Amino acid sequence: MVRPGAEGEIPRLELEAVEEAQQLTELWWYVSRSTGLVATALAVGSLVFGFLFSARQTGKRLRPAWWLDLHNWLGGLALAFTAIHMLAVIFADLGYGLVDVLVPGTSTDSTLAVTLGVLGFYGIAIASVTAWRRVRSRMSRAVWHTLHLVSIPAVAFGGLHAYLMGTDAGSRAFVLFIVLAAVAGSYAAALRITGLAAERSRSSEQILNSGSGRSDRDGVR
Amino acid sequence: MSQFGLHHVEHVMGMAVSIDVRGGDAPLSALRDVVAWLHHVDATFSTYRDDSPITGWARGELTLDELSDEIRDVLRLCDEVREDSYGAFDINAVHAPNGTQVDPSGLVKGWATERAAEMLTASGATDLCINAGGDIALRGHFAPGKPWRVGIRHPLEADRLAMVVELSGQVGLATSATYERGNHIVDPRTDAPPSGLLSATVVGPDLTFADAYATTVFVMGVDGLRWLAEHPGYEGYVITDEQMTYATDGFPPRALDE
Amino acid sequence: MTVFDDVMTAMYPPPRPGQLLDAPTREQLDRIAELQARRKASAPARSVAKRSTTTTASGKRRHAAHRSRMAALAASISATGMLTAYLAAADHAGASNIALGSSSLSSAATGAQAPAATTPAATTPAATTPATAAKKPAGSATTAPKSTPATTAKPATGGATSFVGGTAQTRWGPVQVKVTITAGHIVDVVALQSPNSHSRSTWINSQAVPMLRSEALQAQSANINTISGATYTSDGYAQSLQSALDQARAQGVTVG
Repeated sequence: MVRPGAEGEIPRLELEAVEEAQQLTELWWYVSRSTGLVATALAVGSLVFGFLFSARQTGKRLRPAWWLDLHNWLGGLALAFTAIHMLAVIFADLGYGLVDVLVPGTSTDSTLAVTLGVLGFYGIAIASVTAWRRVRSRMSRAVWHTLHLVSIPAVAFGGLHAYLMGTDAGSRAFVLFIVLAAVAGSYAAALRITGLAAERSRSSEQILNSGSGRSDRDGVR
Repeated sequence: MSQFGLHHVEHVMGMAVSIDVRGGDAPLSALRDVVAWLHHVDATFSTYRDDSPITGWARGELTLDELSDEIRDVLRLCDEVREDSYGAFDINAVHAPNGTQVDPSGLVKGWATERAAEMLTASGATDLCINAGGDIALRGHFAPGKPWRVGIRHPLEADRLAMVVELSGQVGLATSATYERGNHIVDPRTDAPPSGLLSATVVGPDLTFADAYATTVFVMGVDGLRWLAEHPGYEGYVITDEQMTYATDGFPPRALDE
Repeated sequence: MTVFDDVMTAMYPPPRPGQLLDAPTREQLDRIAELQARRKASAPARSVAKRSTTTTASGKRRHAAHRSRMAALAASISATGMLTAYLAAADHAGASNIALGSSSLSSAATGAQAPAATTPAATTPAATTPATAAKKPAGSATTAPKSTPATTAKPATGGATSFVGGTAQTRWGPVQVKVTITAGHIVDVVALQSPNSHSRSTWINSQAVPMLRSEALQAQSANINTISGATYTSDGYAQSLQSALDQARAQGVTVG
């Protein structure tokens, strides 16, 4: 019940609660931006590692197993950070709901940019899940490879999404970052493509990929 | 009822209350009842009077039990909005003219006007507008097929409008602004008039809350619109001291001139 | 443990605590330990070449790039934290530089009319390159800080004059407005440049849409039935628009 305030006593009330709630929402918004950027970096990193690995460009000192493991890990991290990014976007109260971030084309605001991001998420999710040993062992190498290649457009979509949508897309640092990412990705892709012919002729081709696939399958069954 | 319905301007509660009934079968006695009601509210809730129950209670001369049900209802509503607004709307945080720190007029004006509109509709009026010093309770239409066109005063220029909206049905509209006299809005945190906004307007189904929410949003500033957006049916429009205007998504768009 | 190990253990049982060993025995034990360590070091490397994970003696799976994984995780999390902090700090630094948005216009409108009209050279920079103009404030007394003083007077027919204000860095982002003045009154305000829809304004206005247009309408021509916020006091009522509307209503004149 309301009581008359004592003379000279101004009630200090819970207006701070409003501010705290708003600060929390604001924090989510900053988290959505930073996780988006970090997820992009991780996805590009995983892509580069993947290209270099399959191009047999892992150098002499680094073990291929280490390389492959880190490639998978970066992909998984990219997926996780993308998921946090999506949650943060919802919590940040920007007007995007669960449907907007999960179903392509449903967002009414910046439809193209959001859709690219959603498709990128699914692409990375497909590549990451099928890279998981138990899932991968249940499909043929051709099927797995096709699904795994989905990650390439997915990363491109993600980068485009960041460029179209990103609050920080106008900053010089972001432009530098996206250019570096594009250069690194293209360089690795070029190495992979030019290395394909040479690799095919090599007799040692099976050592790493099918070799690991076979032993994994044996282990599961 | 005549072709022009009922129309009356009553000076009560320190302001001009304009009553305009345009449709329905309300008798002239209904208008008299409304005028009597407004004077009753003034006598009960006026913080300018030493003999009003609200002043007596604020000074501790009356206990809560000695107050009438309607005063307790109003205080309960004030308390509801205070909790809902995290203390931004607080009848204890104002300096009332009677020297106390209780002033429910941020809600009473809207409450009394809403009740007056209810009285008229209960007597058969279907289309009406009561403008109590800028707080407006509407019912129905201005004319068949024509909504009420309500101007919102420009906060800096008294003879100009910032916005015109078209409204119909059961609607309350209230504006809280720096230019209001006697509206001692202070930010409970600073004990100073809130800065950032020149005026805040709230539209909603019940003028009681539209009035209180307008005060709340005015205290909270632009961010108050986010708070308001969580109240279904209520929409807001503010003008900042940078003369930028912001509105919630559902605020009626500016009515274009015919 | 291999057969080799078993044999060696049988031949040279591990010393019980406190048991004294002679020098040759200790030498042999050291040698065996060294051999075993070398074998252990080389064995996992081969198995790892086949699979990305291997099983340690404790039965726990260990990833080939375990350390690098943890490093990548730590780097990602700290990068997120640092970016979040940086973005928040950058934003709040920007928010503290609140310059007047449209109100800078009114000062431009009232004070800058004559000078702007006489120096039409000031026209282009403000109108065409607001971004660069905003970064280098030129000295002039007519505008608020952080907004470009250059204003443009474009004499139009009928006494209406349009001013293009400089770009003001507001809390919501850069804003540039054009104001039209007739007979000393602002009749139109149009936002030429509004804040990026994906910047902080999106957050703050997810439910509050900035209209960026303060409409000072002529009440007389607005065709309205009633006015909100216009007549609070009885004293002011007599001169108010609401009073005029009420009088017209009382005389049976349909307004609106």
